[in-house]
Amino acid sequence: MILIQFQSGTLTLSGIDTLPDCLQHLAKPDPRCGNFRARACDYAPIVLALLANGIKFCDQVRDYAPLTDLHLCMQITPHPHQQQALDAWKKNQCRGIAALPTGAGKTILAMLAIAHLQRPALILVPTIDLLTQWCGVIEKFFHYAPGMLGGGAREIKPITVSTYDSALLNIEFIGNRFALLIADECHHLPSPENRLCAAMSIAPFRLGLSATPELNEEYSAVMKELLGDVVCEINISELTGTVLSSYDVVKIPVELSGDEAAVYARNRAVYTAFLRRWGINFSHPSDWADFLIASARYPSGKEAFQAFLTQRRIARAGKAKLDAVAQILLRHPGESTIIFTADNDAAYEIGRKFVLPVLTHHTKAAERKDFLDRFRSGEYPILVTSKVLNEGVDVPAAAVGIVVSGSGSVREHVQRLGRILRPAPDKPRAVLYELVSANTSEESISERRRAHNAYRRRSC
Amino acid sequence: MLKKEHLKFRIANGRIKPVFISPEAPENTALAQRFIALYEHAAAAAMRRGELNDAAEALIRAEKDLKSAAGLNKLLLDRTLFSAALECDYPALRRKLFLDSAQKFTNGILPAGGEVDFYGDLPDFEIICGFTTITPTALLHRYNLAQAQGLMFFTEKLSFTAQSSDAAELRKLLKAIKFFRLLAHFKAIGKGGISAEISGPFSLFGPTAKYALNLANILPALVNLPQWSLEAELKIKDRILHLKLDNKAALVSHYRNLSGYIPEEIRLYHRLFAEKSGDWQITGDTPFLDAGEQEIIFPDISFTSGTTGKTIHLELFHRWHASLLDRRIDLLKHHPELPLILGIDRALVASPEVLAEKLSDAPHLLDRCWLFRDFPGVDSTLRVLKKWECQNRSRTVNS
Repeated sequence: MILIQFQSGTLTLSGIDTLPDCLQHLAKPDPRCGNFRARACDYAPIVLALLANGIKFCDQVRDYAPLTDLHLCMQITPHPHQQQALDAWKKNQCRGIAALPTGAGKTILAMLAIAHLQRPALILVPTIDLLTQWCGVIEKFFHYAPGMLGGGAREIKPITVSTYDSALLNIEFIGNRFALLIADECHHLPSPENRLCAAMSIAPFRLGLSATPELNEEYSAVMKELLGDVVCEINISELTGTVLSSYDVVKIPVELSGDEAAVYARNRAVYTAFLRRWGINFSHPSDWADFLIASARYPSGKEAFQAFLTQRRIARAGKAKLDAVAQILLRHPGESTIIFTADNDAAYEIGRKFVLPVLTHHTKAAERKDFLDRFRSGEYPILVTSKVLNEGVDVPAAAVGIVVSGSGSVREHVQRLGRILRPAPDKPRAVLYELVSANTSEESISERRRAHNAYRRRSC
Repeated sequence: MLKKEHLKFRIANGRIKPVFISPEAPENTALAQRFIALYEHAAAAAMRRGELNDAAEALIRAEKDLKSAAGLNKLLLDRTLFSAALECDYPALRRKLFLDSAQKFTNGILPAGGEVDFYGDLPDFEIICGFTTITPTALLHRYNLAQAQGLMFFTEKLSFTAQSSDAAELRKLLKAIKFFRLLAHFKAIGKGGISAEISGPFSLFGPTAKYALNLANILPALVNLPQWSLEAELKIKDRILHLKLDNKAALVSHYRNLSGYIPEEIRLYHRLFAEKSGDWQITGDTPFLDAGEQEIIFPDISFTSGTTGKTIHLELFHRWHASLLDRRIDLLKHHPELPLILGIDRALVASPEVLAEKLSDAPHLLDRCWLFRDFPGVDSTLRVLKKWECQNRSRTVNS
């Protein structure tokens, strides 16, 4: 008889000399231990194959039982698009990805999935803010305090919320304790490290959630293998004005002041001359590392690197941009506003100048919660952030977004737009301002990040 | 540990070689000393993190070899503790200021900062509260080991050979492999030698960097052995590169190596055994026993019978070996053919009655186990050896 056990994120199959034909594609001989080994994520196919072929086996893998006492404590009436996503997921053997825009109620969909299965669930999230937010939602709907992994917490319970990073460290020990794996912002899952969170879990049921699941070919294949197909895809435009707030996107070209323009031009020239000299054109992902190496190695490198920092600082948060931020803030007095920057330095510069709360990874947990609570309640109408609010965090009242600076990433820009689209009573039409320093490298960065249908029809 | 940007290496013909710095060269010890002096001074003056970073940056920029300087700085930074700035309750100050500014914004007035830095508790403002100093030579050795370990972050599996006449040293290496949850395929090579290929359980299904840190953590235990070599395959920027290192690299582990010390009771035991044993001899070479399924046994002493030429191994269990003893008893229950006897400290199993109870489902093992206090006596060892020989003889006759 085949004995199947969970070991360090894998399955060991012992008690047999040769592997049955039905398992040939799922398990491998492991000469290190003299038995056979399979990926934990292939648990369900292995069991199904053995059952289908009438092969006797002893299953010592699962370390969980159904949660028959788990019920929703308040009625959820799903929106039609949520019901559509739930039905499609159930029809796909409770596996697959729901691609819904930010604010479309992905968390509610997950609550419905957990309530439907009534089995232990591990929820993966990318940030600590999302970790606490998910715990709050689970507590609200199930009257159940879930376990937490991440941000200093390490408590495993039948329903546990974990950051991807913490799950990666723990999955080899807990991969057999959950039947349902939910990957929030699942575009993070396929990276070479994070994918192990799903591959080392036996969970037969899986749900991926993302507003922006578009990935390259390799990552799409990994996501499909580990979570399932995209079972439901809904665009922002389909929900705008109903489930999501109506919105405008306003691009504001900002002219650098005379002094700044001169300093920018001088430093940009030094920087680009260095790049040309050493044949670096940022066409390959490794070019950034090459630039760092060259700037450390060659005599003119120090000057070039300093020039790079200076021109970037001016383009991202020069005086002209700060003046533009001031004008926008005065145009929307009392309205909930999030200011986004590309880096912490710019965020703190704005925070110091206008006496504003700044949320970065340096913000301690208690103050982070305090900032978000006061922002939600309206006590603090404005929050400045670099990247930590890019994804997922629920701030429904935010109606104004100001992108002071950012990367060329379409995903980042769509996620930032998503922060101001959540519906709230009496919320005015949302508006996302994008400040772009004129005649600088920011113009091309802006063009790159606006390559999404959410920006095509609503830009002014 | 060093970060990617600190690693120095050369690549030629598909091979990667870490660039070490000589711990003996006066210019290197002087360089190390400059950084150590900075950190000692910074700690004594309770500098802020930002000030220390600025000072260290200036020191790094003054060096020709920026990477090595930055690497040494990183290792010293790892030995430095910081605490939050405590002169002000910044969160309370911010709360007050933000509530005021919120009011102004709501009324269409632009607040202006600048008088007080209300973000004075950011990391740059943290104060040094501790620094564990180190000698320049030790820092340079640490640097070299960290360079080798740093390359191993790109490793998916590695193989090594190790040679030591001291079983305890090899046992430490095996312990490290187990501690870091790695799997190995072991082979004995020559006297006191072992070779193994190490990887993680999931490595069977394709390359993964998940175990790279675990593999890198094996290195300090490996370099503690008198003779060792390792080969690893690295993947850097889609290139497969081969790393080869051995004891000629003169890497020095920061793990304590006490293998040169032979306790007095062991010397005495060897002397008395030679006097009393008659037919039995202590075997100089103590090989490991591979019991399969990742169970490797490193006996403490091995004995060879002059009559039969057979060797039997003794493994000692002290008060800190409780779970290991249970595992070993379980192993002997399933594999009675293993030539192994067990000496157990009374601090672990108090009396023969307790031992008998422990072995109630395998009473035949009672003849292979005995209790001692602190260190086994020669007479009791000889008694068990004779019993085992009788048992072995009857087993042979029966079979």
